[in-house]
Amino acid sequence: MPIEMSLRFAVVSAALVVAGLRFGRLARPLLAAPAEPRLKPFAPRAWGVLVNILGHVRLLRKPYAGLLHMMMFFGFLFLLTAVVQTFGAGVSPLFALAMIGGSTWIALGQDIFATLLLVAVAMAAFQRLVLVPSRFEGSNKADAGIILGLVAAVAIGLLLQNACYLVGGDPSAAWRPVSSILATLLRWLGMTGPAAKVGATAFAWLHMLAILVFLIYIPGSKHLHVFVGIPNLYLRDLQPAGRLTTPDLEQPALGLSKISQLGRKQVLDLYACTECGRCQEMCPAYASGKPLSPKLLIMNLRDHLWEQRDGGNGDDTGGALIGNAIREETIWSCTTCRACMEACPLFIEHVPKIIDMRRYLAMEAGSVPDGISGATLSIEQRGHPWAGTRFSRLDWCRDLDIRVLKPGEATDTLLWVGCTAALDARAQKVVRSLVRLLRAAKVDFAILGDDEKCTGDVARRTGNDYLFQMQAAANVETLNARTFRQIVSVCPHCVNTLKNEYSDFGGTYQVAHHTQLLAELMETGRLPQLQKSEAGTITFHDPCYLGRYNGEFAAPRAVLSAAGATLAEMKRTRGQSFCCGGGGGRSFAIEPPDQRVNIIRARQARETGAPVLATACPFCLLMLEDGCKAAARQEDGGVQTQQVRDIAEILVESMPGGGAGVVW
Amino acid sequence: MRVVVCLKQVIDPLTPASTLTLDQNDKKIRVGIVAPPVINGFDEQGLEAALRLREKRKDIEIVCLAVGERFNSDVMKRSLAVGADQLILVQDASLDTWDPYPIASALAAAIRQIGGADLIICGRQGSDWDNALTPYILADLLALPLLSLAKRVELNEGNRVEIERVLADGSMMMNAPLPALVTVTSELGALRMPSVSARLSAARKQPRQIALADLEVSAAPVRAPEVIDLAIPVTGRSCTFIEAADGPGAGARLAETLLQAGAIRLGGEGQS
Amino acid sequence: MTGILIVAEVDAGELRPDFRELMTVARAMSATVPGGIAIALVGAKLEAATRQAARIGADSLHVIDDHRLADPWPEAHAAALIQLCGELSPKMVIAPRTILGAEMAARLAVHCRWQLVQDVTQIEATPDGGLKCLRPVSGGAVAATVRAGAGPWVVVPRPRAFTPDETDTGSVVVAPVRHAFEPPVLATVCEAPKRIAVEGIGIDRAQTVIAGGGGLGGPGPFGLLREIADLLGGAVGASRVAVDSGWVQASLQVGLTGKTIAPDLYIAVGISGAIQHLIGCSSAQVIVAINSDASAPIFGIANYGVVGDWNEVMPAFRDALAGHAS
Repeated sequence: MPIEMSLRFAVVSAALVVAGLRFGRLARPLLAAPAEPRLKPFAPRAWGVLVNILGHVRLLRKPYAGLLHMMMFFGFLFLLTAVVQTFGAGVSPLFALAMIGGSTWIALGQDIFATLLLVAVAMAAFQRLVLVPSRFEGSNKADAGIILGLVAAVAIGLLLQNACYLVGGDPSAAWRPVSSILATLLRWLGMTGPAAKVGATAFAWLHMLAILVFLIYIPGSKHLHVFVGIPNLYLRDLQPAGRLTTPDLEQPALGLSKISQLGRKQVLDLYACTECGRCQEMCPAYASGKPLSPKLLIMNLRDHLWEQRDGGNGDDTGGALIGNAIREETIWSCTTCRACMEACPLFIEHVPKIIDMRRYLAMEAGSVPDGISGATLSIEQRGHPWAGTRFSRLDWCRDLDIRVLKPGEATDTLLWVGCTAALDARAQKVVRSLVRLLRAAKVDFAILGDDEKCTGDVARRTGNDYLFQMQAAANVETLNARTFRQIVSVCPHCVNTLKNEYSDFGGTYQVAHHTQLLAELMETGRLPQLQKSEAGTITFHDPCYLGRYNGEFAAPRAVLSAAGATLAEMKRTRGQSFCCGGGGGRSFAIEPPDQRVNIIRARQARETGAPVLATACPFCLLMLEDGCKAAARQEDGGVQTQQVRDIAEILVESMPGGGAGVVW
Repeated sequence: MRVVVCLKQVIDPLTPASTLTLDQNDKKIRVGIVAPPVINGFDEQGLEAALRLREKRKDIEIVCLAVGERFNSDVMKRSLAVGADQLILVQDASLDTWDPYPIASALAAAIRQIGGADLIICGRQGSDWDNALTPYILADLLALPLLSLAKRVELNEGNRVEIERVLADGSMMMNAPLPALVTVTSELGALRMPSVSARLSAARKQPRQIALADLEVSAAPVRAPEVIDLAIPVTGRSCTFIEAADGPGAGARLAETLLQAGAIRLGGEGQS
Repeated sequence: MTGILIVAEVDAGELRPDFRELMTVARAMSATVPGGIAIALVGAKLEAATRQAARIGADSLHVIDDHRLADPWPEAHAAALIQLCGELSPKMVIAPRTILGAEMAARLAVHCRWQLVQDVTQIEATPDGGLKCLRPVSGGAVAATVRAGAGPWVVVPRPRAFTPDETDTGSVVVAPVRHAFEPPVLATVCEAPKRIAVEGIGIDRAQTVIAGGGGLGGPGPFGLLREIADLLGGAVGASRVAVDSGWVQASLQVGLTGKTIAPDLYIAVGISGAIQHLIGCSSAQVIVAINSDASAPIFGIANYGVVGDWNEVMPAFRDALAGHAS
C-alpha cells in the first residue's frame, strides 16, 4: 500500500519535525546555561543511575506508586521493540526484528509488557481518582490524565494491532497469549481476514499516532523526565550534602534573582520534575501551612523559565523571579532540612536554589525578615546569634574549671561548645553533661572560650555568605593556631560546617558529633559500666544536620541502647525524619502560633507513647521542648508532656551515681 | 546639599552585664571580654534617615562624622557600606569622655572645617551615658535650629526640614529652615542592611582622619558634672521559677502564686 | 533671687502627678539651697493648674500663660523657662524627665551654660558648695556618682526614684505671679499634635502593668494582655520592639526611650529584657517574666519567672484570674 506508506512517512516526518522544534525550544535555555563541572567521576555517577533507574530504589519507598512506575518503565522499555517494528516495517522487513525473535520471544514480551502497562495505567488511574494522595496537591492533573490516556492508547493499539494480525493468520499466536485472546474475541465479534487487515492497519495507526502525539507532547509536560531523568541523575551533586558552594563575593550579581543565572544542571532539575509531590509530602514548611512547597517551587521556576524564554528578548523583562514567580515569604519558609532532596526520585536540588535566592535577598537586596536579620546582625556584631543573652561564653562552665586552649597549645579533643550551648540556659545543661562524660572517660579536652565564634551556619543558610566567610576565616585562623586531634561538638550545625565547609577556607579537621564520640567511648570501654534498664522507653528525633546531612543515624541510637533505653521509633525517622523547624535560621524567625513545625514534630513523637523524646542538637532541643508543651496541651490538656532530653543528658543519668555531682 | 550624620561608638548595649568591668582610675566602663563596640543605635537610625532623604533627592552628600577614641574601623565603616559618601573620624584621647561639651565642640569644629552642613542628624541620645545633651550643645555652638525626636524626616521644597516628632500620646509635625539639626528616635526604623558589593567597596575605602589639633576647637563653654565613682548595682532579686507540667499549668500556678504572695489584687482594688 | 525652681508640667489642664516627686527633691535640697522653692508653670489655659500649683506648698508661683504655649513646642516652652530663669535667677532648676520636660532642661542648661544632671536617683549637697548625684548609666548596668560644681544646676530626677511629697499644705496658698511671654525669634515651627487616645489608664499611673514584647509576634496578642490588665485593674505596656514594629502606640512603651515606671506589679510577656527596657521597669515592686528563653536577661531582675510559650501560659493565667474574680 504505497499510499498508506507515504502517508505514514509524511505523518512521522511531520511529527518528528514538530517534536524536534519543541525539543529545540526546550534545549535553548539549557544550552545557554553555564555547565557545572559534574561529568566526572563516571563510575559512582553511573552506579547511582543504575540503582535508581533500574533498581527504582527511591521510587519503591512508596510500594504502590513504585511498583506501578516500575511496570510502566519496563513496559515502555520493552515496547521500544514495537516502536521499531511499527515505524520500520514499511521501510524494511528487517525492522520486524524477526531475525532476533520478533515473532517469538519479543512477541511474547510485547504481549506481557503491554498488559503490565495497562495494569499500571489502571493502578495509576485508581491512585489519581480514588486514593488521591495529597502529594498531588498543586500538580497538573490534566497533564497526568493525558499521559495516562496516551500510555493506554499505545498499549491497546499494539495489542489490537497484533490481534488483528492473528485474525489475519499471522503464525505467532503461540507467542502472543494476550493478543490471541483478543483475536478470539474479534473473531467472535465477526472479524474476518479482510477486515482484520484493515483493523491491523487502523490499530497500527493508533499505536503509531499515540507514540507520535506522546513525542510531541512530552516537551512541555511532566513526562519530559523520560528523557532528562537519566542525565539529571547522572549529574547529581556528589559533594558532601552539608557543603554549599562558596561564591566569589567579588562577582557582580550575588545569588539568584534572574532565571538566566541558573546553572545547566539547575535548569535540568526544572525539566526533570514529574510533579510527583514526594518532596511536598516530606516538607515541614508545607506541612505547617507556610507558603512553600518544594514541588511548586520547582514548577514555578520552570514556568517562569518558559515565560522568560517565550518573552523572547531574553533579558528578564517579564515578571521578576523573586516577588513574582517566587514570593519572598516562600524563600524564607525553608528550614533547609533536605527532606525534599532526600525524597526526590530524580535528585532535584531544591535547597541550593532556595539558598541561592536567599543569597540574593541577603547580599544584594538587603531584604531579610526581622528575626533572622537580628540574628545575623548579632553574629556580625558580637560573634553569636543570641542577641540579648545574659551569658558570656564562659559563664556556663565557671564552676567546672575547664581548660581554655590558648594559641600554640595542644589538646587531644577540642570541645567546640557552639553559641547555643554556651549562651542558652537550657542548652548549657547539655554541654555540662558532656563535660561530665568526657571527664569520666578521661578524655583530654579543652575549649576555646571567648575565642570561639559562631561557625556562621545560620548566616550561610540564610544567604549571608559574606558573613559566613568572615566567620569561617576567623575561626579557621583560631583553630589553626592550636593543636588538637579532633573537634567534638554538641551541635550538628557546627559539626557540619566545621567538617564539610571549612575546607574551602583552609581548615580541614577531624570532626565528631558528641554522639559519635560517646558511642566510640562506650564501644572501647573508656566510659564506665552503666546501670542499665534505667532510661526506659525513648523515641529519638534525628537532627537533620546529623542524619540526612551527615549520614549519622547509628551512633545516637547505639548510645541510647547502651544507656538502657528501649527505642520507640517515630514513623518519620532516620533519612525521612521530620525537621524540628529550627534549621536554616528558622530558630530565629518569628513563627505564627498556627504555623509551628515543632508542634507537628512533637505530635509525631507523642504517637510513640514514649515518655522521653531524645535528640542531639541544641536547636532541636529548644524547638521540641516548646513543641512538646504545646502538643500536650492541644491533645490532652497538658496532662502528659514528653520530656525532651539530649542524649548526653540521658547518658549521664544512667551512669553510676546518676546525674549526682553535676551542678546544674 | 550636605547632610552630616553624627555617629558615636559605644559599648555594645547587649553585652552581658556580668562582663562589664569598671576602671575606677579613669572612671570608664570597659568590657571584660572580646566584644567589639557598636555604633550607637539611635545614631544608626539617624543615618537611615539620611539615606531615606537621599532616595528622594539625589544631590545629597552624606558625611558621617564621629569623634572619640580608639575607633574600631570595621564597625564604623558600616556607615560607608550602607551608603554614606564619607566617614570622618576625629580621634583623640581627650575625646574618650562622658562629657558632651568637648565632644560637641569637636563635632562643631569638624563640621566648620569641612565647610558646614545643610542638615545635621544625630541620634536622640547615646546608649552609654544617656545624657541626650550633645545635639543641643552642637546646635547651640553652630547656632542652628534644633528639631528633636523625629520618627520621620523630610526635606521641603522651600528649603526647610520637616519632621514628625514622637510624643507620649501621638506625634506632631515640626519644621525649621535649613541649615538645621534634627535628632531621631527609634520609631524611625532600623538601619538598612548593606549589600555585599557595597561592603566590599566600603572595606577598600579609608575613613578620613582629622587630628583634633588640626581643628579649631573653641574651648568648651562649661564642663559636665564630673564622674567620681562607678558601681555595678546589685538588684538583690532572685527569680522563683514556676514549674509545671506544661504552659497552661504554669499559667494557673503563676496566678495562684501571685495571689498568695499578695502581689495581685483582683478587681482593681487600690487602683489610683 | 530664687533658690529652687521646679518646672511643673501640665497634662490635660492639670499638673502631672509626678510633680510631687520633684517637690520631694526640692524640699530635700532647700536646706542647702537658700532662697525658697518656686514653681514655674508654662503653657496655655492654665487656670486650673494654677489653682492647683498655688496650694502645693511652694514659696512662690510663676506663670506664663500664653496661647503660643498651647502645644508641646519644645523651643517655645524652653524659651519661656529661660525667660523665667532670667528674671528669677534660680540656683537650681528641677525638671521632670518627660519628653517635653527633659528637652526644656537640656535647652535651658545649654543656653545658660549651667550644669545638667540627668536621671538622678540620689542627690545631696557637698560641703564645698557642689552637688553630688547618683544616676544610672549604660542602660542601668552601672551606677555613676557625679559631682557638679558651684551651680546653678539643672536637675532631672529619675521618675519613681523619689517618693511623692505628701506634705499637707492645704491651708497655704501663694499668689501666682504672672509673666508676659516675651520670646526671642523662634526658629522652629510646630503644628498641633495628633494625639492617639490611650485605652484605659496610662502605664505611668497604673499599679499593675502587663507588657508585651517582640515574642508576641504581632499586635493580636495584646488583646489578651488587655483582658488580663482589665482583670487586674492595670494597664498594658510594651517593649520598644513592639512599638517600633508598629504593633502598639508609643505611649505604651516602657524603657529608656519610653516611660520609666514603678508599679506594684510588672508582668513582662515575651520580653527578653534588653537593658534599655529593664531600666524602665526595674523599679517595680514585683516583676514577673514569662519568656520561652530561660537565658533571657529579664529573668535576671524578675521575682517570678515562667519559662514557656506565652501563647500557652497567658490564657491559663487569665482564666485562673477570672475564676478567682468571679
